[in-house]
Amino acid sequence: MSTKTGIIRLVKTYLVPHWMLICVLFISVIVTIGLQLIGPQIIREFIDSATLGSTMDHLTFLAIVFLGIALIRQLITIGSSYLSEVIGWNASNELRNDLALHCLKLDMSFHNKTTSGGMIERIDGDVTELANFFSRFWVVSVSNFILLLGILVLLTVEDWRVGVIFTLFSLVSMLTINKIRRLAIPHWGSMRQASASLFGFIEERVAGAKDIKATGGSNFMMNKLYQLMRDKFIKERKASIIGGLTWNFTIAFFTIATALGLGIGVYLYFRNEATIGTVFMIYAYVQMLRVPIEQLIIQMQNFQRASASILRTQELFETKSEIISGPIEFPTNKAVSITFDNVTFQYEKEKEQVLNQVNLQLEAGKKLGVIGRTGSGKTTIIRLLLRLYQPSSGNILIDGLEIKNYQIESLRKHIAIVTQDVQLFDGTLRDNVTFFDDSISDNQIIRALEELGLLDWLHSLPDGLDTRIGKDSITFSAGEAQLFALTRVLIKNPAIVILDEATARIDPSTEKLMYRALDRLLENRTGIIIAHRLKTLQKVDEILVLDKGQVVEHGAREILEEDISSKYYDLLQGQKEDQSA
Amino acid sequence: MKTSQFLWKLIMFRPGLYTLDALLVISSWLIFIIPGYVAREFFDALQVGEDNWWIWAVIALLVVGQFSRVILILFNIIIDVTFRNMTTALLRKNMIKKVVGHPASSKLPKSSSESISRFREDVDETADFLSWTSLLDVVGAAVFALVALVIMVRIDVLITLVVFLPMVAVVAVAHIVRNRVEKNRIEARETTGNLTELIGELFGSVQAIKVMSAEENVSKKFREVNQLRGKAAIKERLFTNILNATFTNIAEIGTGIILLLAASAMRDGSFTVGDFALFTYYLTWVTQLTGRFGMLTARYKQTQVSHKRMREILPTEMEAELAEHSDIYMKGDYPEIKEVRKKQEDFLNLFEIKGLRASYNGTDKGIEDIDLSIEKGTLTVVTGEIGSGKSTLLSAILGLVPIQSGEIFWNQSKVEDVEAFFEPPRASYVSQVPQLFSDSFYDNIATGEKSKENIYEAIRLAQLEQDLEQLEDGLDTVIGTRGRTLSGGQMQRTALARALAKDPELLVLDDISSALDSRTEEKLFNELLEKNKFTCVVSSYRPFVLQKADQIVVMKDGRIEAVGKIDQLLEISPTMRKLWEKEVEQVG
Repeated sequence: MSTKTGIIRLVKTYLVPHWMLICVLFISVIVTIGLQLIGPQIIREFIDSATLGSTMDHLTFLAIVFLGIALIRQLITIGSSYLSEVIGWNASNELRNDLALHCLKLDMSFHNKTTSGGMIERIDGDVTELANFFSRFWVVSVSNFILLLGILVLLTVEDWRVGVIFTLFSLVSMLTINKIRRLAIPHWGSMRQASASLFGFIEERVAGAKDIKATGGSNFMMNKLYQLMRDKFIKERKASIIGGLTWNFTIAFFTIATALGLGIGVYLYFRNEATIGTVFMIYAYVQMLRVPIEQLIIQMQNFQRASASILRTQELFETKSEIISGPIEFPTNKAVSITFDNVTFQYEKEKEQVLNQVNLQLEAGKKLGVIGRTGSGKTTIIRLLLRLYQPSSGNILIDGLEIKNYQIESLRKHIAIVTQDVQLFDGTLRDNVTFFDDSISDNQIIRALEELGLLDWLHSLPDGLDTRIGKDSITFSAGEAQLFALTRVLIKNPAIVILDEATARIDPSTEKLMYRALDRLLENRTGIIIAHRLKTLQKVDEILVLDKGQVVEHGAREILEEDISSKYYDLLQGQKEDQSA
Repeated sequence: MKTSQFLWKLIMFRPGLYTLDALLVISSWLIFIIPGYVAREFFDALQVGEDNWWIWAVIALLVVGQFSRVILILFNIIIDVTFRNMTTALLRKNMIKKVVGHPASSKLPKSSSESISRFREDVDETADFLSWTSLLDVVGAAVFALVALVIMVRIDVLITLVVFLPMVAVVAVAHIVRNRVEKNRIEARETTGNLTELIGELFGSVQAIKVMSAEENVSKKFREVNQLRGKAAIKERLFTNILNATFTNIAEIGTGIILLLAASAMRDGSFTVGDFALFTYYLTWVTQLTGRFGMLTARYKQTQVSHKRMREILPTEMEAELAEHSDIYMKGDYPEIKEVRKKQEDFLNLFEIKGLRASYNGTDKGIEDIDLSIEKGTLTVVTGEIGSGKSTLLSAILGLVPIQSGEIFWNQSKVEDVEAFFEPPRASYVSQVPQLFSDSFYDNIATGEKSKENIYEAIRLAQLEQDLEQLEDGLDTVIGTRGRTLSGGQMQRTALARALAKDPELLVLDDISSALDSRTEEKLFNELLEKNKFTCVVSSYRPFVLQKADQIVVMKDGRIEAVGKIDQLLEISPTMRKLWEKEVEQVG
C-alpha cells in the first residue's frame, strides 16, 4: 500500500464523477494564466515607448489595457475558487460518508482499540485535510505548473539562452526542493499521531471527570497530560523544522534566480541585444517565477500533510472486517435451536482464552439460564452469537446451520438483546429507539412504551418523542434508561431473546413491569438469560454454569435443583441463606 | 476578562520568547526592503548606461540579504512553534485541571466531542492568532510597509498616495462584509460541531448500533449532517476567497495605476525605470498588508468566540483563571506525585449531614432536608425507588452535585469546601457507571498511589485477584477504550479497587451490586467491614446488604422517608416494605 495507490483510488472514486465542473474550472484557470502572462509584455512596451518618448495616447492606452486585464482576472479568479470549493467539498463529503459507514461496519475488535475522539480525528480531521487536497491541490498545482511553463516559453521566445538557463534552473530547484520535502512526511504523520493521542486522552478524562476527582486521580492525570503535551510539542517542532527547510530552500533558489535574471539583463543590455524594457520584462518574468514555484512547494507541503491523511484513510479503508456476512437470509421469526460446537475464543491472539471448548445444545423454544462468576465468559457467549466477535475455533450453529452463513444484518435483526449497560446517544427519544430507521412508526414506539408502562412518563416529557436526551443526561437514571431501552427490543420481532443481566439496575418495583414485558417477549422464542441473581432464572428450562470460560455444568433446571451434588444446587442454597440470614 | 487582556496574559506567560518571536518576524519582513532598493539602483544604473562595479555590488547585496533571511526564518520556526505549544499547553492544562477538579460546577457541554472541540480548535485558534501566522505577521508587515511608504513618498508623493487609495477601499469593503463573514464562520463551526459530535456519539455507542444492525440507518443520518456542514463550509470559503482574490490582485491594479500616472513623468525622465521597479516591488508586499490586516480582524473576532467558548466550560468563579500562569513541564522532570498522608483530623469518627439541599443546576430533581449521622466503621445503605434521589444523595456527599444549602460535618467540625474536602484519603467513590481509561490495569487502579501494599490490598478487597490471574500480562494488561473489553462486573470491581487503593476513610459506592453476583458481593462486604476500617455509604436493594446495614436510609421523592435497621423499617416504612417484598418474592 502506498500513497500513490491511495491517491489513484481516491481520485477515481471521488473526483472523476465531477469531471464536468473540473473541466470548466480548468478552462477558466488557463484563461487567467494567459492574462497574467501578457502583463510583463505590456510593461515592456510601455517602458520602451516611454523612454523613447512615444505619444501620451499610446502610453495611456497601454496603461488602460493593463488595468482592464487585472480587473477581468479578478472576476475569473473568484469564480474559479468558488468552483474548486464546491468540487472539493462534494468529493470529500462523499468520502466522509463512505468512511464513516465503513468504520461503523468494522468489527468490535477494531472499535475496542479506538476512542471516539480518535475516530473524530480520522473521519473528520483527516478527511477535511483531504478536502483541501481535493479542492485546492489539483487546481493550484496544475495551474501553477502551466504558468511556470508559460513563463519559460516566453523567456525562450525572447532569447533562447535565457530560456534554457531558467528552464534548467527551475528543474534543479524543483527537484531539490521536492527531495527535501519528502524528508518531512513521516514527521507530519507522527505529529498528528501525537496530537490524536493527546485529544483521545483529554476526551476520555473529561468524560470521567467525576470519577477522577472523587478517587483522587487528578495529579496522576495531570502528569500524563504533561507527557502527552510534551510529546506533541517535540514532534511538532521536528516536523515544522524539517517542513520549513523546503521553504528556506525556495527563498534561496529564488534569490539566485533574481540575481541571475539581473545579471543576464546587464549582459544583454550592454551588448545591445535587449532594450531596457526587455531587461525589465525578463526581471518581471523572473519575479513571476516565484509564485508558481512557491505555490507548487506550498501545495507539496499540503500534500505532505494530505498524504499522511491519505495513508491513514487508505489504511482505514483497507481494514477489513474479519467477520464476513454470509449469503443466507435468516429464515424465520419462530424459535430456533442454538448449538455451540467446541467454541474457543480469545479477544486477541496470545491473550488468555475467554471461552475454552464450550459445547452447548439448546433446542428451539427453550430458555437457557447462564450463570457464573463475573468474567467467566457469559457475556462473551452472547457477543459470539451476535457475531460481534468471531470464535477462535469451533462453530456456532443456529437451526443446524453455521451462523457465518447468515447475513449479519438479518441475523442481528432476529436477535433481541437487553443488556445492563444501555448506550444512549444525544438525540431525540425517537432516534434512540429507532436508530434513525424511518420505517418504524411512532405508533409502534408508543405501543411498546405502553407495554412497559412508560406512557405516563412519556406524557410528562415536554416534547414527547421529540424530547432530546443527552448522553450524560442527569434526569435519566440507569434504571430508567434500561427500561426505556427495552422499547428498542419490543419493536423487533426476534427469533432469539437474550437478557444479559438485564434487570440488574432496575429497582424492584419497576422490575415487575419489566418481567411482564420480558415474559411476553420470551414466549415462543428461544431465550438465553444471563443472571447472577438466581431468582431471575425461575422460569428457564436449562441451566449452564460457566467458570473461567469452561462449561462446568449443564442440565435441566428441575433436575439440577434437586441434585444435591450440583453446583446450581449449591448456589441456590447460598442465595437462600442470604434471605433467611 | 476581555479577550485583549486574556491574550496579553498569555503573551506574558513567556514574554521573552514572544518578544524574540516578534523581533524575528519583523527582521525578516524588513529584509524585503532590500530587493526593491536593489531593483531601483540596478535599472537606474542601466539607464545611465555604464557597465560598472556598482551594478554587480547591488546584485550581491540582494543575495546576502535574502540568505540572511533564510537563517532568520529557521530560527523563527523553532521559536514560534515553541511559543504556540507553550501557550496551548498552558490553556489545556488550566482547562482540564479546573474541569476535573470541579466536576459539579464546571459547565461542560453534554456531548464530550463538543467539549473536545473547546480543548482542540479553540485553544489552537487562540495560540495561532498570537503567532507569526497572524498577529506577528501583521506587525512585521506593518513595520515594513511604514519604511517602504517613507521611501516611496520621498520618490513621488502623488503616485504613492493615489496607488494606495484602492487599498483603503479594499479595507473598507472588507470591513463591511466582515459581519457577513463572521456569520458564515459561526454557521460553519456549528455544523462542524454537530458533525464531530455525531461521530463521537456513533462510535461511542457502536456496539448498540451493531446489535440493532442499524449501521445503514445511522449513516443516513450522518449523510444529512455531513451535507449541511459541507454547504456551510462552501459558503464560508466563498467570502474568504473573494477577499483573498482581491487582496492578491490589488497589486496588479496598483501597477496599472502607476502606469497611468507615471506615463508623462517617465517620458520626461523625472520618474525613472528604477523608480517604477521599486514601486511595483514594494506594492506587491505592501498590498499584502491590507489582506493580512483584514484577515487579522476576522481572526480576532474568531479568537473572541474561542475565548468565550473556553471560558464558559469552567466553573463560573474560575473563568478569569483560564490563562493563569503555572509550570507546564515542557522540559525537565515531571512533577512528583506527592504521597497524601492522613493527618490526625482526617481520620473519621463521625460524619454528619444537616439540612442538606442539593440539585443539578437548580432542577427540581434534587434532594432536600437531608439529615444524617454516620459513625466510623458502619455500613449505611441508601435505598428507594428509581428517581428517589439515591445517586444524587451519594454524589452530593462528595460535592459532585452543587449544594444549595445545608451543612456537612466531619468529626464535628464543619466542612467549608465540600468539593475540595471529600477526596482521598478522606473519601473515595465508585459511581453507578464507572469510567475507566485506556491504560493498564495498574495505572487505572493506582492513579498515582505509590504504596504497592495499598494497591494490592485494594485489588484483593475488590475481589479482582482472580480476574487478574487469568490475564497473561496481569496488572500490565491494557484495558481497551473505556474498558470496553471488560465485563460489567470487572469494570465495577476495577473501579472499586481504584477507590480502595487510596485507603479512604469514607467509601461511597453507588449501586455496586448491579454488576456483581451475590457471592462476590457478600465476600466483598464482609471483608470491607471486617476490620472496622472503612465507613461505607452504598446504594443497594440486595437483601443481604440491607440486612448487614447498620442503618438504612429510605429515600422518596428526594427526601428521607425513614432511617433505621431493616426490622424497624419493615414496620414503619411503606417504601421499604414494598421494595423488600418484591426482592424477597423474586428470590422465592
